[in-house]
Amino acid sequence: MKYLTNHVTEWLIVILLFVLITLIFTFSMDSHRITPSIFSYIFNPYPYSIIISIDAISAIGIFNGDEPLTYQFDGKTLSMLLNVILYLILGPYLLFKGYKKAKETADNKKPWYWFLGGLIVLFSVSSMPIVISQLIIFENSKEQSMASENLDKMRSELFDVSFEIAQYEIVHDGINQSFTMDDLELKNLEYNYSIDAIESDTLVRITATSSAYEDHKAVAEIKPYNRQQIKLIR
Amino acid sequence: MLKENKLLIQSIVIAIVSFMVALYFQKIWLALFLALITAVAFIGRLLSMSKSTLPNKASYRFIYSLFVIMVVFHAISFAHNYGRKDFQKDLLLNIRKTIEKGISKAEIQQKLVYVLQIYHTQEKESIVETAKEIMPENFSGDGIYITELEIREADKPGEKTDDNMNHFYTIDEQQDEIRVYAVSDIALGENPNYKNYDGQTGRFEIMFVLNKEGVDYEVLN
Repeated sequence: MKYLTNHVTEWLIVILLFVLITLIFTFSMDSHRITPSIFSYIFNPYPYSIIISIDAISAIGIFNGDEPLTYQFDGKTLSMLLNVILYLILGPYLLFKGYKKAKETADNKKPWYWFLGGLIVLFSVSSMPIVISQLIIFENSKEQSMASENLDKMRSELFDVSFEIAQYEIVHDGINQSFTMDDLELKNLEYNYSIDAIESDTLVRITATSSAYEDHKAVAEIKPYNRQQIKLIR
Repeated sequence: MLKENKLLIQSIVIAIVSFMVALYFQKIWLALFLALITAVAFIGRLLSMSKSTLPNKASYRFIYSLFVIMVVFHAISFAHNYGRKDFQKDLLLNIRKTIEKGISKAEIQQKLVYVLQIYHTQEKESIVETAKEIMPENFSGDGIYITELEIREADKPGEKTDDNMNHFYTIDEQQDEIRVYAVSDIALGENPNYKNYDGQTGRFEIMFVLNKEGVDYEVLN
């Protein structure tokens, strides 16, 4: 019973130290005594974020026409190794050594490095909620990018349909008040189309809607005899 | 030397060497994976030694659970992040492809439809001749299609904005047909081995065809 009480007390000391150190670092960062980026690289129990950030910068470069970045032996990449060694090797090792040393003493008293090991392990475990929230954010951004991709595809198809209407008028003289979308005989359309207005053969306004995303809507104005025949107005 | 100290040094050396070698060959995920696997093996060995070292069963169970949680957490994190490693790049390249396709359609297709309209309304004899008459500035004479952006840039020499798209054209007088090709320098197409019109490989490519029936386009890659 006494051992259990001691053990719980020791872990409470570790938790207290953890809270204290976190507060000190937060305060130091707020008062600009420590640069947040240095801190976040040296003590990052989640090294995956570093590769993701390097890849994100590289992807933006590729998007702008630059060459993809190569991985360098620099502070960023080496901090990943440092963190694996610190959190998954040194932390558990110090904890283990501390237990071993304590067993050798009569009162089972933990040495200083047991507390240090416990602190490192606690830092490692403390990043779990952050990671879980990151997983949720990623799933949300995936959903958002799918929605935005749908809107892009809808506008692209609306453009195609609009060109078909313009050409239908130019080649077949086919636009009049009785014109319907079925006259175009278009196949494999992904979105739904409706004609909003037909003003003789010089202006047709159509709307595209999506069955998958009810709030998605795009409107185009078609003027077959203009230099610029298609104008997306929404 | 104590068994655990020897194990510690061995593990750190293996983690450093395997990480560095993999990183040297630009395999950053492999580098991290090898360092993590070394750490997991170290934790496993440490746990097997802990049974006789820890003061009682409760401590052993606590430490065992803590380490297992850490290992599982890192396994899940690695799998999740590795799974999304290309997500951002693919997303941006996809956006780039959509933009380039949209710009090509807006610029080239509209112009070709305008030629088609003049051909039909003014009852011209040839589509090719109509195009040459209406848009002579776009046909360079050596098969390179000059876009409106490039024409505007030529007017304002200070403003250089490369759109990272290469445009070409072919004219078939007999068929009375014009083809315009747009090849991206950046956006990738579906087939990575596709030989592009301009000699590149695997890039996004779209072709527009103008004849008296109309203007059509096809995404070639």
